[in-house]
Amino acid sequence: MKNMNKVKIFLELVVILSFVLLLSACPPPPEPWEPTPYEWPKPFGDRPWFPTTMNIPADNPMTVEGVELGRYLFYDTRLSGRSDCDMQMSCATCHLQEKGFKVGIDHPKFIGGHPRGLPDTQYPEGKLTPHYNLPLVNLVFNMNGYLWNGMIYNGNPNLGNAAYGVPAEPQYHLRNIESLVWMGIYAQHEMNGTVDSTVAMIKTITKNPSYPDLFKAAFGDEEITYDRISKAIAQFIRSIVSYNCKYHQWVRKEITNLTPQEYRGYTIFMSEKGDCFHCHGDPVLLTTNLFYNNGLDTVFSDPRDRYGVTKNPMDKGVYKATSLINCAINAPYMHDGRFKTLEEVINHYSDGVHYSAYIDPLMKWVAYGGTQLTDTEKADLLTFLNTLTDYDLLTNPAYKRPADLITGCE
Amino acid sequence: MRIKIENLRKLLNSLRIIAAIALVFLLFGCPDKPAEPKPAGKVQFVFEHFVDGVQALYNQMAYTNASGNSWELSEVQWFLSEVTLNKKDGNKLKLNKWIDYHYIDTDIPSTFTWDVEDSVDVGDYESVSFVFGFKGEKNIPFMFVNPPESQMFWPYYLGGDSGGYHYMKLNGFWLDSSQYRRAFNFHLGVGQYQDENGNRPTDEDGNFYFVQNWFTVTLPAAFKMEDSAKVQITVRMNLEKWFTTPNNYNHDDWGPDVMENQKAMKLISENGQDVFTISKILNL
Repeated sequence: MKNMNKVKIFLELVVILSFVLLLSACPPPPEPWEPTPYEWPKPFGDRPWFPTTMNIPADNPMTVEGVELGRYLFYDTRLSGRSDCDMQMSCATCHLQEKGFKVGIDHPKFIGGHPRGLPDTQYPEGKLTPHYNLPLVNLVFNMNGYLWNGMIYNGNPNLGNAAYGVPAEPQYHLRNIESLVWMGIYAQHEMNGTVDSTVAMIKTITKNPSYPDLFKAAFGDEEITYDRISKAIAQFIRSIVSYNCKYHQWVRKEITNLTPQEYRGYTIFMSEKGDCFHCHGDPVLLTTNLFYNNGLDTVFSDPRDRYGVTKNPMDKGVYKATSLINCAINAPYMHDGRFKTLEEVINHYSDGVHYSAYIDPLMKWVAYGGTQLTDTEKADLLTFLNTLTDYDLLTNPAYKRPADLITGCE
Repeated sequence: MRIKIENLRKLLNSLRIIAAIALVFLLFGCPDKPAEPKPAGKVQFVFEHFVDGVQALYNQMAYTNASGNSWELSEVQWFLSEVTLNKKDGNKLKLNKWIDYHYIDTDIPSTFTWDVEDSVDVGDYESVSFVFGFKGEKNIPFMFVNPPESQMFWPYYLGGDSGGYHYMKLNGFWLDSSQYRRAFNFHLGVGQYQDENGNRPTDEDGNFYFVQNWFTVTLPAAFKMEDSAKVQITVRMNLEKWFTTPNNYNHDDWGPDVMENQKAMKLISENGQDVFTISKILNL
């Protein structure tokens, strides 16, 4: 009996030991993927500053990891899908942080700040963009449509765009910033490439950075797809917000030192004397994000004006009122870059407004050619516009080119 | 078995205590019955814009005002606030449990209908009142952060702390005395106090003085609210009346801009008193 008990105990020990060995041989369960929700700046303490309505699609929530991947892709010139340095281009090629994410009139490659696409046999110098570009700042708060004519908007039923070489397939809708990414890749006047070559290129990059690691952090696994590329870049672009120019600080009463000339300029801007505020006066965004005919011309032949989108006859010669944040450093101005300096812009609104049947009623001084400012008033207004430069945005490390991004074409 | 009287007394005392405790529970321990909901219904406001008795036309030089100006309408955007339903018995119901304002924009048709969340007591009602725009203490800068309401901001330089937003933007064109098509911005909001020389005096702290131009409208609106009913009330803005009664308003005299012209805005505010009518009340 005693021996039987000993045997039983021994067998039990063997079973338990075997079980323990079996368990230790199993691989550990995978760590759950938990991206970090993105937190927006709160410049006004408990008081809301930014609009709370944000143009973020449900299938692309903002995460820290998504924004970071997007930052690398935004600056990576291999996004164009080529390895030849002369055929590389990134979003940052035309949207420079130091120019408020516009091109800038003194761009080293694009004369006068007019971007060109990558060359091909039809355009050996590269095709000029139909419009000058807009700043990629505070876009997340724009619910009224992107581009000068608002062509990219939520609820747009259109697919693809033949003029941009983009296929009319369901994934190529025209609804949000994600659409701007693939338009940038396809368009002959931009990267002049294909999404297939872009994806193939990004897949080859495993060092500086390791894209598989970045994609895993952002999306849960290492798979690299065009959809994920566009989502990540869109997240980064949405993260670019401006709230700290001198005027913003003054509105929030963090500073009180507008100079007398700046204050005079402010009163011109914010009264019907200069009458800038009806279209550009939102104290946070410095734009309504709406569309106006601002008296640039009397004849309208641009197929890409607002009429080109809405087919409303009253929308001829109508374009987006851009944000004036950083306007002092991001010439040239207007959809066709016709004004090279802010002085020229002020002169237009003061003395050079052209009447047409489509002019917006807010341009009510058109009967006099404009607001008829004196030279002193123009100078005051210009001084105020200089308070709209957000130096924090222009140098924010969160928006900079990653230091460890090495493309081989630096 | 002999029972001692003392034991009986102890038993009786215990029973008294138990009875007292039971009584306390009976009085206070039972949960209140939920209150019966008061019979109530709902109200829906519909907003329409008419000129000379007809649905407004846009972007056409179709109208002539009381001063003889030919004019066309581009758009109108406005606020009403503190809407109150006035009962026949003298009671008033302010519709402010969720929000107490509404924004109407002829460029945004969805703003033409406002389903009010408040419950409306049953009974007989005789009129509707509202504030056109906002009273000063409610017209707070930065209270709207989202468009379209945020785009109605009135510059702080022109309105101060009690003039955060336009009451109205009525934009269009008129034919001036030379038959030239000119734009007008018929905007109403807080005015600036100016002295007889046109200067803006300030107090000892350097603050400007402002003038409120909001006004209250009370419109006859007889309806009976029944339990679980929904009543639709259509508020009509008769735009031609902005330019007359009691003041004939001539664009040639006042020009295209009035936001810094308190004399003009005072006339507009006075004219606004009879701009609104209730054109229809329906039980839905």
